[in-house]
Amino acid sequence: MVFSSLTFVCVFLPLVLLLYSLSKNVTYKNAILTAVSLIFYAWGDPPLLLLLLTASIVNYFLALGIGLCHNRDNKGGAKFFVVCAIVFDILMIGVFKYAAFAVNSVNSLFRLSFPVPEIGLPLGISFYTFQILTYVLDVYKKDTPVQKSYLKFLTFVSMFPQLVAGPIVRYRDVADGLSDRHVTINDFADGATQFVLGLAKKIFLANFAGDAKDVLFASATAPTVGSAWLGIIFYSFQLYFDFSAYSDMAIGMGKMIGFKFPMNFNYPYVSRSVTEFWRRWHITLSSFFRDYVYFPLGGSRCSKARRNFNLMVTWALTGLWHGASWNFVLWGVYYGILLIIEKMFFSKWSKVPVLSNITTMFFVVIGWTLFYFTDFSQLTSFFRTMFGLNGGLYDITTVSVLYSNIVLLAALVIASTPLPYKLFNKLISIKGIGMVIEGAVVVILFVASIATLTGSTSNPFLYFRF
Amino acid sequence: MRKYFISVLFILLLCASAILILAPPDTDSIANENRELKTFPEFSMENVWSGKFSSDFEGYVDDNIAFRGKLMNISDAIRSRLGYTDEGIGRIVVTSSDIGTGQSNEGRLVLYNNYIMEMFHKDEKSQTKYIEALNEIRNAVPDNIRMYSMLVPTALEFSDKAYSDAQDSQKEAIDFVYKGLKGIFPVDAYSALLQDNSDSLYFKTDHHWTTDGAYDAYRKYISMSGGDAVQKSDFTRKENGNFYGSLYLKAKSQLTEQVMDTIFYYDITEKNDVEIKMRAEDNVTEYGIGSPVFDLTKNNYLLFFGGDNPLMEITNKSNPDGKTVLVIKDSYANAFLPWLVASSGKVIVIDPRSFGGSLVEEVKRYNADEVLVLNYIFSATFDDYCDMIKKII
Repeated sequence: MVFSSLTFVCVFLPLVLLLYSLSKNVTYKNAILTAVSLIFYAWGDPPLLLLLLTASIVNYFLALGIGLCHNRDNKGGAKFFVVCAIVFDILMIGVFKYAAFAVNSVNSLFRLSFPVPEIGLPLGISFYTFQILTYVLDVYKKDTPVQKSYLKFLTFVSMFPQLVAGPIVRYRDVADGLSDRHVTINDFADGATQFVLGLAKKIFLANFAGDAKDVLFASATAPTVGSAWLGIIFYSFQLYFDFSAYSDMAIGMGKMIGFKFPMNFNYPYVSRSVTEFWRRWHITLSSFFRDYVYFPLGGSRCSKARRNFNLMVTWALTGLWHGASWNFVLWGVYYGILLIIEKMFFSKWSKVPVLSNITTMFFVVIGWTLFYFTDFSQLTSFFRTMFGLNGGLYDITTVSVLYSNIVLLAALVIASTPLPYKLFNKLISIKGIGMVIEGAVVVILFVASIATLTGSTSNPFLYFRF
Repeated sequence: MRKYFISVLFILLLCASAILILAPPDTDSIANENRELKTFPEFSMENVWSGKFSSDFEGYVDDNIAFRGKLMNISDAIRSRLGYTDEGIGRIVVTSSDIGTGQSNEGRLVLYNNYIMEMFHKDEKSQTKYIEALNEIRNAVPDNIRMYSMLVPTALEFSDKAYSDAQDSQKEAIDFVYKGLKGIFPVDAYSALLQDNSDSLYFKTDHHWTTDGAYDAYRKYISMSGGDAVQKSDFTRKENGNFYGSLYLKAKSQLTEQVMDTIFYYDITEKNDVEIKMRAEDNVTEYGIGSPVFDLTKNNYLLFFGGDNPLMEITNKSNPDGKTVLVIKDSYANAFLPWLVASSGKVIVIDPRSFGGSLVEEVKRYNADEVLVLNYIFSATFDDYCDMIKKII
């Protein structure tokens, strides 16, 4: 089920909040939350439920095993169980996400013709497998106690707000809440506002930017430099607002049910360096790779050559996480190289205002081009167009799209900065009328969102693919 | 205080949105889209497990929201404020359409000079399939029956160069198909339309051509197949009301000025005694006996024969010695057929999207003299439509 659908907003969410509020008993709340989360997950494709349940049961018992070994001071046993869990989880994501890609790659590399398995990517598998891994690894490292209740564990794994597209919530961040949580009226109000802002962001910024991009990228469009750049810029905005809107809604709903999920985006497009960009973009994913891949490899506390190697491995994997296709690996490696170059030669460049913003965004946008085209011949052709080697400077499509989306483009630029949020916070803190302003914004955005969802075709979130 | 106010407000909003679904639906807004209101899906284990229940349920919710039309007007108002539309530049928007094959095709529209026009996107894989389908028909039909293919370009192809260049060339796509045909006579409707400078060949808000445009193509066809074309001036030109066409709904929020189309026809039935019979998808049951050529209860393109039908047997009793022509077609043929009927003895019309029988059988049954495959060029790029043609051979 998609957050930005009438079914979710008008049927699912009201029902869930109603059922959830019927009792204060935390076991009841966990049971309801788990039940509705499983329905949420199974909604489009019920058989996927089997996969989620299997993953949760296997990891639950393996973690119990680790806990038992810890109690008996059996290090070998704990290691055995954690290796089992890692192998199982990697295998699961490997089979369901990467099998076809791997076979295809082997086939084309060695000119073989192994049958390619036809497995559709199960919804959210990249997200929940990683969440489960954080739990098992943290139990192994004794960073968190073992969860004995399967219900609580399943509540953590299946929690619908962030199940299919993040933020990637670590078990230890919500462990206490699973046993004891209270929804304060303050959290509920904050969550509600954040949810509505996220919904509006998705519908009015991400989807509209996507529509503009679709016109420019439609394959019938004659390639022009202008259309290519304008299109990839709209796509860059679409990607950011789409994904961050999902996180906003997830965090907002989390607050409404008593959980605090970590922040996932912090205005990445105002960054002045690639390093800073990755501190602000998909924070829960980059910190996952930092803590569970980069640091264990040795991080930066080693020789420069080793650090560079660590960076490249981490970034190739980050790229691969985004999709079973070589262009994502390329995209990851591209960032690895950028980061190494930046650390080695340009560590002071970020102190130059505006110019450093422009150069950073230039490389980010080029990155999104690698990210967008899974087909290498299309990618090459697009790059040729971008740099003037294909087609003219602009045509009627370029001009028409620019004209008819100029207000949107301005809104996208402004909304990428912290300004609107700061202004909003300032307005709502005005004594007396602040509350009314906030209320009016919530009502207007909510009604406009419902209206825009009406009669529109489906508009799934981009990150559902991963 | 703030926290209570916002919380209560949000809960009220959620309640209100739930009530929107429970309240009576806005049936008018669905009727405007020429379709039925979706009903609550059947709840069965099979439906649930296959995911059909959930997708049908979402369709039900989307259709059954109260004030649907009013909400969509708000949405249109928002969309129209994303930028400006310069009169001289026009606007290009994305849309999706389904010509009745059940497959939705992504496309783009140009809004310019009060015309809403589909942009063409070639698909050589489908076009090749279209060629194969026609060649298969050629092989299945006896050699002595002449077979023709007509692919019709759309309005944008003849619009200002800046706009027609923004799409793939329809001319090239038509030539691509014509080159691949074996033993089939290509009918050059393109030049006929190009040479006619009148502005009444296409509708402004509908993707079809008018009966004037169809007349140009008809003359070209007759010049190839032999015989005399009827004259427009022999018949009274009649109008049957104004309408917004199929493309209007997809583009209306983006239009600066809204101009209606007028549906018109030349009443060939004044001088021809025409009888229509239809056959249903099962290919046995006859129905629609005595249906009109011009269905005056419809004030849009459906005026011609009331729309698309699986099989129509149209007899021109006033021309008993005329040829029997079998036409395989999409809806573009509907405005063309009255002209063809006026100069034929019998016209058998088969729509591959709904016909369930065998084309070869029908050719035999009616002892057809010639076969004409008439579609608009877009249909040759719809993969599933090409499959449907293959299926009825």
